[in-house]
Amino acid sequence: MCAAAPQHSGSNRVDIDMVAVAALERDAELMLRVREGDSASFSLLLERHRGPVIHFLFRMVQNQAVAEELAQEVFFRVYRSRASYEPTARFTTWLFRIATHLALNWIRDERHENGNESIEDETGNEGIARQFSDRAPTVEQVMVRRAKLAEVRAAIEALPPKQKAAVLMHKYQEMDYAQIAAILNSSESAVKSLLFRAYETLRSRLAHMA
Amino acid sequence: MHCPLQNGEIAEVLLDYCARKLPPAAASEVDRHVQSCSECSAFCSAQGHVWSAMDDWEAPTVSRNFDRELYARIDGFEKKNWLRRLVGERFAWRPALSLGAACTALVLGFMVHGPVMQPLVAPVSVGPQNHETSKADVEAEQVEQALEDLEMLKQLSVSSAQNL
Repeated sequence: MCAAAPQHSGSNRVDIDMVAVAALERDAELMLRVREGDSASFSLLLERHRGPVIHFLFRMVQNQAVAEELAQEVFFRVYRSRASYEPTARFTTWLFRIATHLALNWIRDERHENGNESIEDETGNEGIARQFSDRAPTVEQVMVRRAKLAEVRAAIEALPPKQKAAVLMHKYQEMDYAQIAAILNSSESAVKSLLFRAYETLRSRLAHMA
Repeated sequence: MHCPLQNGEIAEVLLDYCARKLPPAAASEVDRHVQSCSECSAFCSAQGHVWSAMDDWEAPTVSRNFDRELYARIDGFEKKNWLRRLVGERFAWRPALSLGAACTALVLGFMVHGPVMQPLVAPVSVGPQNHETSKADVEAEQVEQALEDLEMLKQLSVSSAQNL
């Protein structure tokens, strides 16, 4: 399956890298303008990163209301510390470092207070309902899909928090090892090992779905 | 190529290969190995299933109130810090507060322990001072008188004892 996967050609990769670099420079530039008091630049940054941050936090805490609350705190902290911003690291690294820190703290506190419970929120069902109206799958297909999704969510939820954060950043945010390492404040080799163990666990837990 | 799964140090290469993140030369080398290694082939297949299952997990759409609530919070923060804006972002509060506290302490210290202010107009009458002096003199005379009386009584008692 993977052996047949198409690889990026050299020129394509260069183009993608240049686009990525331009986006990073744009983020830093916008943040520098925010530092100078330009609120329109803050709105642009919010527009660009609101979705990825909320989605990451949603998958971390598996609750939309909490994810949005934490995301508000992330952007509020960005705004509050705008005066001390220096473009020494990628803006997204800084942003996701704040988000990961808040999510890990929330998970720690939640486990202390309520124990480990799975959260079936209305938004997960909304997605299925939306697809139901578009493609009209059978009730059986919906239920199978819902069951599979619940298993995936439970398998990810059961990972140790740091492994979970690393997997989510690697899979959904498509971050490289260096950036994940910078966000988790660990070495690149430690992140590689963390991801390898996390995926090993997921492979074994989701093996029956293959 | 050594089997990545047999060599823990390069096991991550398989992950990168499955994620299509290897450079073309390395990818084709791993590709050749995977086709001949059943373990690595099974690894890639299982990893592909994991990612495929994860792809189905869609994140919800962001609620409409998100931005409004965030900006309301930022406005609240800005209003709370109006004084800071008034004196400027770079105003250093700590040194200013320390300096203020030091000045207050100096003023208080001066008020409590400083020299007493003399009245500008000199007192017209010196009577009370003379009165005080004469009173002290009278007391000294009385003490001297009492001592002399005691001495006399002592002499008197000695002489009467001799007469007896």
